[in-house]
Amino acid sequence: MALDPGVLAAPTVLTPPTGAHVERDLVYRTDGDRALKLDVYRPSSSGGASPVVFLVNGDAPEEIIATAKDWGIFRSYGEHLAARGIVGVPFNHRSSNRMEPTEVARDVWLAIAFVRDRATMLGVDADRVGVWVFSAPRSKRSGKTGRNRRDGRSRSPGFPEDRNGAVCSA
Amino acid sequence: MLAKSGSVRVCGFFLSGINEDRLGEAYKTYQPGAGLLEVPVWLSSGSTDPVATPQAHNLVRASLERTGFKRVRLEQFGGGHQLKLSEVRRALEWFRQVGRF
Repeated sequence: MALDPGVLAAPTVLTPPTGAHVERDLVYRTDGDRALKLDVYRPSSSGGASPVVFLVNGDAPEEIIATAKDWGIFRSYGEHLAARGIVGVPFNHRSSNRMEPTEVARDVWLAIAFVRDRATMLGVDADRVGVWVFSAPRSKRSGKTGRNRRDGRSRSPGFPEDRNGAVCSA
Repeated sequence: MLAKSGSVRVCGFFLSGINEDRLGEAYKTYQPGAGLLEVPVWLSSGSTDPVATPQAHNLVRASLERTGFKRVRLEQFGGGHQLKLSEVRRALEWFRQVGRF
């Protein structure tokens, strides 16, 4: 199963700005040979620590979501957030098709912990954290990729869906 | 998991275009403690949303309240299956008001 590359590359409807300072492919967890990576989109003109929003893509088979942070929509949201003075962090997490959703949720937790532990270096205010959870991608050409679990429901790991956010502070 | 870890204080949940109560299920799975039930939950429902209908949002609210969430607020806006910035702002203001931060 594969999604149309054109769909994956598509940016947000609202044309994304440019200018974020982006650090790519920071490894926040390893799973055997697999390195789980995240990107950090920082505001270009931030003088101090900025609040951070983590972008959590929805669940789907591993081959689909393995590189979700590089999809156009998450690159776009990283830029949008940075343009508004917020650090955006899209990241790859594993699929619950391979493991319990609780273990996938641990990926999310570790990604957040990784960034908060390096808050000073990354220009992040570790006390102002948002978690933005998305449902799985859908494509008219490939079907509803997020609804292929045995129970027929789409899931974002450990969080409700469809477009949801949690606001956190330390 | 975040709430249970104690490393963060969850100040609010904003749920938009939701047709299934996953938050209640997550609460039962992770058992983060009764304190999370005090966290405000804002449900943002588009009046013409064909994916997550207003009726579905009503069911989600009822489910959350059955789980024990004490501050669940369902708000409807004119629109479909979308996020509305003005609703996000209203929710954030409410979170600040409730949480006094």
